[in-house]
Amino acid sequence: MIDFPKSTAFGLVSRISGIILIFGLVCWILTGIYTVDQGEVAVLFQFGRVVDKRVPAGIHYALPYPFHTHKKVSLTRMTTIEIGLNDRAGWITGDLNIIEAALLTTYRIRDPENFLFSTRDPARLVEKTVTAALNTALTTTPVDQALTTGKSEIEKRVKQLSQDFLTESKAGVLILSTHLRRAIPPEQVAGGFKEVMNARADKLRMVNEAGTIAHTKLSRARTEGFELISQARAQAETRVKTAEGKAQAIMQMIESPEGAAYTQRLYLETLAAILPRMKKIIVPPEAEERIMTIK
Amino acid sequence: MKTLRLALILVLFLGIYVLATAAVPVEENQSALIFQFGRVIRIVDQPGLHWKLPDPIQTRFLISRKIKVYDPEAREYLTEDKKNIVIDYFFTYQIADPLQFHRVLKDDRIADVTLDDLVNSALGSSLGRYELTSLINTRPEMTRMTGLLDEVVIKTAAMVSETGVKVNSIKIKRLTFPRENEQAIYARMFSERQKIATQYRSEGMEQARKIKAEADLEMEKVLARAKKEAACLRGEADAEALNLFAGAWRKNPEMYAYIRKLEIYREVITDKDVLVMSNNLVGGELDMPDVIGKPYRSVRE
Repeated sequence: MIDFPKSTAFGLVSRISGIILIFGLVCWILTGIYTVDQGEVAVLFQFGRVVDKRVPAGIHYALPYPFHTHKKVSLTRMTTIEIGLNDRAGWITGDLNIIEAALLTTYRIRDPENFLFSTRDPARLVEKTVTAALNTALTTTPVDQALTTGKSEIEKRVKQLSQDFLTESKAGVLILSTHLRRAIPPEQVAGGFKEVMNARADKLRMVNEAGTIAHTKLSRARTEGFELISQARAQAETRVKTAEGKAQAIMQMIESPEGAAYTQRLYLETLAAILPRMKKIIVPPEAEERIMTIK
Repeated sequence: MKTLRLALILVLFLGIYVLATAAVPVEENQSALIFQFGRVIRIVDQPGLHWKLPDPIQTRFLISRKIKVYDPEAREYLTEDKKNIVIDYFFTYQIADPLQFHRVLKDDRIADVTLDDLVNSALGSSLGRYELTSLINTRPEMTRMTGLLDEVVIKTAAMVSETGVKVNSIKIKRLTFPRENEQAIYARMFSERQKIATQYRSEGMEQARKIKAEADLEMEKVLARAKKEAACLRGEADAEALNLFAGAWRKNPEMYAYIRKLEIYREVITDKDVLVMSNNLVGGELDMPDVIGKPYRSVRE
């Protein structure tokens, strides 16, 4: 009987510890609940072995640690890498010129399993791979193209080269974009490059000016030619029309029964027209033989 | 009662210890070496839960087989044509034989440095057999850079075959000239630019001249064509005019000639001409048409 209260005390302690134990157990079991956000996937492991490669977005339950573990990766989050943006170190072009270049690259995870298990540090590998690809692209491109028209070609090649190597390394990464943010000649030779640009503009201007002059000259020549022809046509027209009129008049005179009278009148009119304007020298008939005659 | 409870707790802790050290969870792309008193007795390559005897009887050592990147500092090299270049490369490798790796290299950091020494010397000796222009060239098909790097990979791989490591690839992050050569290169670049500028200007001049000369030629052609056409038109008109008089002439040639002559006198004779005539004309009793046959003389002063 004396032991009774003791034993009830013990009973109470063991009951409380039992409740705590059960509560702890429940909590531990509940840690198996996890959520996967939209755009993410989880990889589920059982003692390190993959049991589900792609757990979709939503709320899920797995056995608590250490039986099951999971790792979440985002398939939509884009990561941006900047190369050469903050250092002014030069890059070499295919024709052994030095330029300054900066490249922006974005990528995302494509294959969660590869991303997690193929490489130890995928982000670092991506950065170094893209840098190497930029180096390769630049060392095979002439400086003029790298600075002007060849930029998109370089971007395309960097993307291609990087993706090829990352796929080969099973990095589980997809390069989304490459953008050649800066490609300029170094300060020390910037003047030289500007001079070339000016010269190119000069060339274009000279050719354009010559073209304008040539055009003006030609159109002037065409106008002149047209005028010449028009004049000739007008003269010809007048000539024919006048001839027509005269021919008709002569014809009428010839065909008329009083033709002789017409000619006589014409003769007189002609004399009347021409004699008054001329100086006249009248010689005696004796001198007539000494004058040359024209017929 | 108290000792019993103590024993129970002891057994519980011992059990946890045994479970914890006997279980070997292995991740994907990972290997576990199982040692028994310091000697490897088993290698586990498969991921998942594996068992061994608890520590300290058997111990484990985990080795990752994931690809690793090593990126040393840039170094200077010499090409076959004695050009100094600075190369900043990185290489990737992975552990292919965990047991061999553990025997020879043991540690990642030792692996990095050892491999880098080999890659460096292989790259140095390979570069010595290539000219700079065969590494850097504007025509991608002319560059033998890929071949050179493959060569270095093969050479290094042969040298590290004993270490259980597989060198995957070597990539050049950046290829530059040594700083002390830069000024000379800038000077060369500048003179090249000037040459190109001069070339553009002379090309412009040449093309402009050509365009002008061609325009002049074309202009001459256009004018010549126009003149020819004008002459043709006039000639045609003359012919047509003559043709028109032909009818009248055919009908009465003498009378036609007479009328035309009168016309010609009217056109030809001006106030500067002098008429010399015999005084029997003045009388006015002449038969007029005969006068045409009479002596006339027109003299230009």
